[in-house]
Amino acid sequence: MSLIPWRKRDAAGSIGGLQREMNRMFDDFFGRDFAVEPFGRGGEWVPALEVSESDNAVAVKAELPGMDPKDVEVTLANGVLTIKGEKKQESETKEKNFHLVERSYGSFQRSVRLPAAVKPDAVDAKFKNGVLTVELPKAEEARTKAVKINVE
Amino acid sequence: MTNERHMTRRKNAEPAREDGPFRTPAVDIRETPGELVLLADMPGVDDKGLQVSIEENTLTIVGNPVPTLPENARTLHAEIEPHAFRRAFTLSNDLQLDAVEGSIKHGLLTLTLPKARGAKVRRIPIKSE
Repeated sequence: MSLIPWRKRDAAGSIGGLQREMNRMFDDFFGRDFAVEPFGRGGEWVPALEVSESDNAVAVKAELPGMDPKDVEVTLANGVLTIKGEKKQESETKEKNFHLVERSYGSFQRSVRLPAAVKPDAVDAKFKNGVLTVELPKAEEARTKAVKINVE
Repeated sequence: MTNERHMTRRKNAEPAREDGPFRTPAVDIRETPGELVLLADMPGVDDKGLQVSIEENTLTIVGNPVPTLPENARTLHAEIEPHAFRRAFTLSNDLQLDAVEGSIKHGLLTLTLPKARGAKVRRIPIKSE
């Protein structure tokens, strides 16, 4: 029997420390201004997102191919847009041999802290050809207005 | 103090050119006793943008996404490549290539490739000297 030095809070400390750091990263993440959650919260897969901004609106696009729009939920709270849902398997899996499985199934959730204040009542979400497009008109004070600066 | 933002203009995906670049769609292939079913994720593609062709034993699927973009938007975060989808597969000989059927809905392409009737396993006799 070999002697292993006993250290208080050793291995637990190092792994726990890593987890704490990851959690802190997530929290910092939502403390800043514009940010797209990199990993999603729990869930089995993460849809690809695209965020763009014009003078009057913010647009968030998510790729959700093969999904039924009624299985998608879009919510806005405190300047954070969250897209979540569940992609179901097309048919029962009976008597099937799977030669290739690359597509993602199951639940997903992903959030975006928006880059500007928006009008919650004017948000429009469309789902077409498996792409969800959420258009969020900016609140008055957030709209970019060109200001002419005189150069003397 | 703001984060650095990518001030690029988004572009709509350009129609597929022979030489690419392309996005590779995620595919599931399942086999039932009577057919092979191929499912391909091609978000943004409708039936007008879809091309499925079979030449000899090669099946090629191409999907051109419908442009969705509004004007004058600056991209802040892009995970979606603005390219058309393309993928090719080699098919086995025991499929009825002239009876392939397909449909696309919500950006998901479903192709059914029936197996040839009477496709049976041929036992090959081995002669020993």
